[in-house]
Amino acid sequence: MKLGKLALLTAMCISLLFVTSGCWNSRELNRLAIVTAMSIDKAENSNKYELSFQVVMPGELSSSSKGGGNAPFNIYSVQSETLFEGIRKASKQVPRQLFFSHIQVVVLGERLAKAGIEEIFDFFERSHEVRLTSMLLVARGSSPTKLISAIVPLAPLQSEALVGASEFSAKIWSGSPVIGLDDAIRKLINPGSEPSISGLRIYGNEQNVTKKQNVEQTRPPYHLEISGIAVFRGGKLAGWLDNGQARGYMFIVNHMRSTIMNLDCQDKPNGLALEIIKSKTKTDVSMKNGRAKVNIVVSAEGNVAEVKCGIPLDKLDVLTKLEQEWGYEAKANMMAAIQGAQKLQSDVFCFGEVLQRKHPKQWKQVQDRWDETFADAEVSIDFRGQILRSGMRGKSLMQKDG
Amino acid sequence: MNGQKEFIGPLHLFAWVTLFELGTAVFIPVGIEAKQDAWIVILSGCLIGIGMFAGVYGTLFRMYPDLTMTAYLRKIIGPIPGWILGFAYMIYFMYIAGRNTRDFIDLLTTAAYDATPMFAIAICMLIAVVYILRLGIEVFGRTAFFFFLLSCGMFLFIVFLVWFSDLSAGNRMLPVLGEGLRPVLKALFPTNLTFPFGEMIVMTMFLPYLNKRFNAVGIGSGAMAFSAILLCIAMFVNISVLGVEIASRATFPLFTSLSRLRLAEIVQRMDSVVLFLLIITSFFKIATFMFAAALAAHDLFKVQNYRLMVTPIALVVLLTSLTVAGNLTEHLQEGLQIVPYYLHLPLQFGIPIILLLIGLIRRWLSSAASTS
Repeated sequence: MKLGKLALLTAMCISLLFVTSGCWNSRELNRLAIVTAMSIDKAENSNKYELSFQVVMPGELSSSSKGGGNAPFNIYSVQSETLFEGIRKASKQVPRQLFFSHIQVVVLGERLAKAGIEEIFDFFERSHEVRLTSMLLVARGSSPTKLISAIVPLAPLQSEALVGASEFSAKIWSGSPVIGLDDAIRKLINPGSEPSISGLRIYGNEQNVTKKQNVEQTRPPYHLEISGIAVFRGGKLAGWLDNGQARGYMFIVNHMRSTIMNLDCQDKPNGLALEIIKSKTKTDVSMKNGRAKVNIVVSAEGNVAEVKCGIPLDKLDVLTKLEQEWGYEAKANMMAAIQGAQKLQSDVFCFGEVLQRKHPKQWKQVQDRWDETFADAEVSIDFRGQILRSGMRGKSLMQKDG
Repeated sequence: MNGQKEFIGPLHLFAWVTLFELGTAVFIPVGIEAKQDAWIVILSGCLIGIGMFAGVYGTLFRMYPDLTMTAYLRKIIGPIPGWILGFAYMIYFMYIAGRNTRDFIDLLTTAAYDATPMFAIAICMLIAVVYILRLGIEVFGRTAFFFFLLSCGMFLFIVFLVWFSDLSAGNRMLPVLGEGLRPVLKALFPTNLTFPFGEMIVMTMFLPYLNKRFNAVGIGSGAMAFSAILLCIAMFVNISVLGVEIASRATFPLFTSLSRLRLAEIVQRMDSVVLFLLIITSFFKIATFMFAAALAAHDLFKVQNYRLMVTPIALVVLLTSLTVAGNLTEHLQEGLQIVPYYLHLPLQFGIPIILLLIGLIRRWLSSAASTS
């Protein structure tokens, strides 16, 4: 009796092991096609989506076995009415199941951006497989499919290259922000802000971007570049902020990490390179007589990195004057960015959000016509730049003694 | 419970109440209707809950220290109406256990187990619950304490992640009371008044079984306050990471927040921690309601051993959880628009307050009769 009971119990435990250790819908790694980047655009003549998926070829990535010399990733494209339909439709081309947990980059086409990006985010939010960590980019000039199919040097995984380029350009050039899916969603919903997404552009000969031979030469015929900031209004692409404006944008939204600004060096225009190493921005927005008043205070630190003239950097008043010029330049950038956005009536700087947080009562009054209120806002900028050092030499070799 | 041999200490009770209050409440965002002011909703809900627990349920317990709620119902309003009302409470506990099981299934299914049938998840959970309830209140308390420590560790880990990850922005919690008090009151009444802090009514079934050497009501109130703080932390994590724009629309915000957080590219996608928390706290919530239902059945039907009632109750709960609603929308709509008004408010607030009044009048009458 006792032995029988023990045997029964053991049998039950062992059979439980089989049941509980498995997954209901198990998907083995060798049956998955891992998607690392995705591009979405509107089809040219219809309302359909044009989707492309960048799928990793695992064998070509391993460093130990050198692979068969095939392309490190493949692109599959479909047209569909909804995103999810497109994903399932792609299974007709892909021999494995597409797996979306590791999407790093989503590139949006210009046609889609102009038609409105709002509706694509629902899929990303609703799906439990996609995580909101993926980065967003807007294709500039060429089709997004072409952009994600371009083979690039240094990173066999092209999506990794895109993330790297964006992150480094945000870190040491600060010309464009890194915008995640969740960031864009928040700004779309909040009436006090509009999304802004970095642009991605291809330079050079874009005829044969998909050929692996391109990276077998020292000068690939093309390169990808993060370029400019797309400004949206009501979910639709309204315009772009470029160069100085983009830098001004980064200052205003407190994303400025480090960049180079050129100032005049005595007689030579743009003859002095200033490296910005630290910047902090505080913004205050309030309403006065029905007009929004924006107050921006930027405190920045920088070093002189290069001079093309004999400017005496060892004199304090010279540095003070440089700091002043730096202030003019930075303010001009910021004003250009603000005026550019005001012309598009698109509050990409989230001033509305600031007002909402600091003065909720005033916000309620202008909430419904924030676009116009923003376009009419009065902006004052206070720039406090401080030049700390001038590198490994004090006097420039061009500086005459005396 | 047979005799008073089984022991549950103050720490065990504290752990139990905390896990019970956290169950499903951490995941179904309490008071998010009030946007950034959800924490005010949670704290005021907790204060009112503590008032009810210590004031009403506690006083009733002091008047009848050896009786469960279903038993003193019969003492206060007479044997037959008391029995019927006690029966209603038993059904209520079973129904809420079923609803909680359904919440658990739905969250797990949307977050991770998208192809697993509901039945499979429900049966796994309920087998574990039945097993622990058959082992008695002492084992239950000890298990609660162990899992309480584990959950606190996970909470600390989450806080650590939020603190050191640059993805959370504290200023998303602003403004405070930007829309005035109205949204807070609207969120508080009645949904968040009754859930989760009004659910402490279930504790009236256990108080007489606890050791009399410590102040159970005080410990319970402390645990309620502690769980309110944990709920506020969870709310802070949701809003500071996702922003109110995303958090207020998410089915399972804590899961989404944790999938977003990362630390130096190494520690990332910690959403599975949230699934652990979900399973642990739901387990204790479902078990507590089923335990209360079993004790009520034990008292009402004069069953010698409450353990005999556990399995049949589990079957009822299983069926309830699967058939209570056709889909998640129906389930949530019932939970937010019907259950609070017609079940929670009368059973958690109305009846206990009336009971207390009648009980006090009775005592006053009898003491007046004895002195005269």
